[in-house]
Amino acid sequence: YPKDKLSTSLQSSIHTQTNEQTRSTHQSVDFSRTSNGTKSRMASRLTQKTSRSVISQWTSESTPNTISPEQLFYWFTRSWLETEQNDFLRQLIIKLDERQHYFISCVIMQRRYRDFISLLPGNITFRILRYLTLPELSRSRRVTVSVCKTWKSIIDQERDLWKSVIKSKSPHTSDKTQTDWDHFQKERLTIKRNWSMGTAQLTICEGHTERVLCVCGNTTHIATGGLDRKINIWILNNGTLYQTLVGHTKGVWSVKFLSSAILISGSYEGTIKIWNINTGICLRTLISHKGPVWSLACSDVFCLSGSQDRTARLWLLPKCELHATLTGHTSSIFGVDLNQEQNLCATSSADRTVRIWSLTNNRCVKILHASTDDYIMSLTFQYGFIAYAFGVHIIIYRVNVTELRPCHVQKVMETQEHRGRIESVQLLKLNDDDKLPLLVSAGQDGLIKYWDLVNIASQHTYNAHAEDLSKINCLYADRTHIVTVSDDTLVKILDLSSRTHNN
Amino acid sequence: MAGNKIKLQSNDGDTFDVDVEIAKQSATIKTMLEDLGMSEEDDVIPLPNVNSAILKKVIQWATHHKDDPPPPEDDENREKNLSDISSWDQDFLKVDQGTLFELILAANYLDIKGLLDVTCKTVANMIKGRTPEEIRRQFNIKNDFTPQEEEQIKKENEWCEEK
Repeated sequence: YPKDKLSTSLQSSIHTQTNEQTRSTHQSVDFSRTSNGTKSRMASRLTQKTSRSVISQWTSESTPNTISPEQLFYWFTRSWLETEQNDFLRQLIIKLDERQHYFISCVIMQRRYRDFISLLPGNITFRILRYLTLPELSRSRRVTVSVCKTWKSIIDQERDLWKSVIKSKSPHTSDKTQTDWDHFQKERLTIKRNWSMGTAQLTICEGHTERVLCVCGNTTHIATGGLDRKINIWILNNGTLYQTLVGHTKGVWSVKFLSSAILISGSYEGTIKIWNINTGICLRTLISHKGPVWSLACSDVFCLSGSQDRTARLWLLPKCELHATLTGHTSSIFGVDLNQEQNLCATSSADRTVRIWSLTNNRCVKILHASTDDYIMSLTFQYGFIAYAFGVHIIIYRVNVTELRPCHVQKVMETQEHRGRIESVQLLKLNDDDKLPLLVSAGQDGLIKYWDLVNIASQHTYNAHAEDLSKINCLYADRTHIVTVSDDTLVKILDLSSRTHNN
Repeated sequence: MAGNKIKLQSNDGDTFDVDVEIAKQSATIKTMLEDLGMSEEDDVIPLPNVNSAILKKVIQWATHHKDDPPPPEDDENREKNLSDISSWDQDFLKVDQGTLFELILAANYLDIKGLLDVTCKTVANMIKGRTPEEIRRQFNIKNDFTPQEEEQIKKENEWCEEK
């Protein structure tokens, strides 16, 4: 019977220590270290006699009934020095049977754990979480908030985490996983040659019944929105219709892919809808704008929308939360983009200005008085360059961000080669290591042009829609495709990856 | 300069003789030596936040890494790659969570960027790619969500899951 009682008191004493341990994190952890190292000085102060006398007091067969467990517990926790406690424990552990050993080892096992995220100082927690965000941001977020309440509140507070991701994420994902290097190089050369020669294969997709207003794409699919209120999803490689998303009550003026399966769309009716393109289901509707949504930009958890109501709104997507409203433009916002490298976003407006905003404090850091008479219809802000179009003009600036000057711009190129109003511009890099991006533009003259930012004249012009002079309303370009949508209800895909030569 | 030693004292009173160049991997100690003009010969540098067992490990790490190039200043270049922990560091960090925890705090206090990086990466690796239940088991965390709250979080998050 004394064994049982002792084990109870031992249990509670270990329990007490456990609590102390969690309070003061600077204490050392396991028993062996405590007894051997840290208290050696204290041990030397004590005579062996003192500690032995404590033990003998307890081990003596003649006095078992005079000590209550409570008394022993009191001695242990209040009056003994740590060396005495350790000697006591050493003696005690020898006396225990296997099951009691097991019990103690379980208790000690528990103490070996540490909840790093909850217990470490905020700056270190941030560091750890930041490593997690980069490969697969939304999954990491989803998993870590589900662990426990403390984790959830920490992660919900760390908005900066997602911002820092925008800042550090490489803007263009390429097929670096390609193992067959020869094949990869050959493909790279073919694409380079096709862009420089203007060699492309044309695919025409029919499916819309009215003007097609917007287009976007990812590596496998393209999405187009039209005045017919429909969003069509097409397979990029062959142009077959994959899915039709129905739900908007007015024309769809902007679409952007958030991931391979999630699409975001903005409509004249003022709503933003989020879709799963595989199921065709509308997952969420964001209502906040008081006018048509003309433009969208997405980056991982952020979505930026520009509207007729003169505001741009920044949304935090996993929670569908309105994160910030950017106000300042005095007229409709037609173009928005997020620069993934520099933690900035840009908006272009019918008020004839382009504004650059900091995503850290949601303030306007730069106003470019871009034009005197034309609306700024389109804007792209990638790779440290900002390009926008008004009338038949395109202007490109390099954007430098330094500590002293939060946003300094320098004009790189100005051109007016198009013959009709330019509706869409996009910057893209054919390879991640290219120093300068390409600029692709299209507009009401039905022409698609691209520039290398070095020459003022365009590198090549396509007139994919020009046989009937259809106005191009929007373009999407990646390193192997240019897709345009136009008033003639058609979607045209130019494939620049093909190895055959036909102009 | 080479061969100069200083004495570091842990919070439980043990002192360690360490090469100045090794100790200077700690920006905290470097500042103490350079800015406060502490002479290396006689003075003992007290480190009130580090116990001797952890200090011993930190010195072991710093000794092994004494010839490493200084880590890049800007955080932007910090690789997202979690797997680039050297095999020596991996072995060095095969310790219980309590020790790892103390090492992180010590690296933070002593401002040893390399050690802080590698320990934080180790913790991130313990979380990466696991389910919430596995993470709870890993760190012995209690799931304190009610089923309703769990459902709510699921709803908040899972709509954007790719199918």
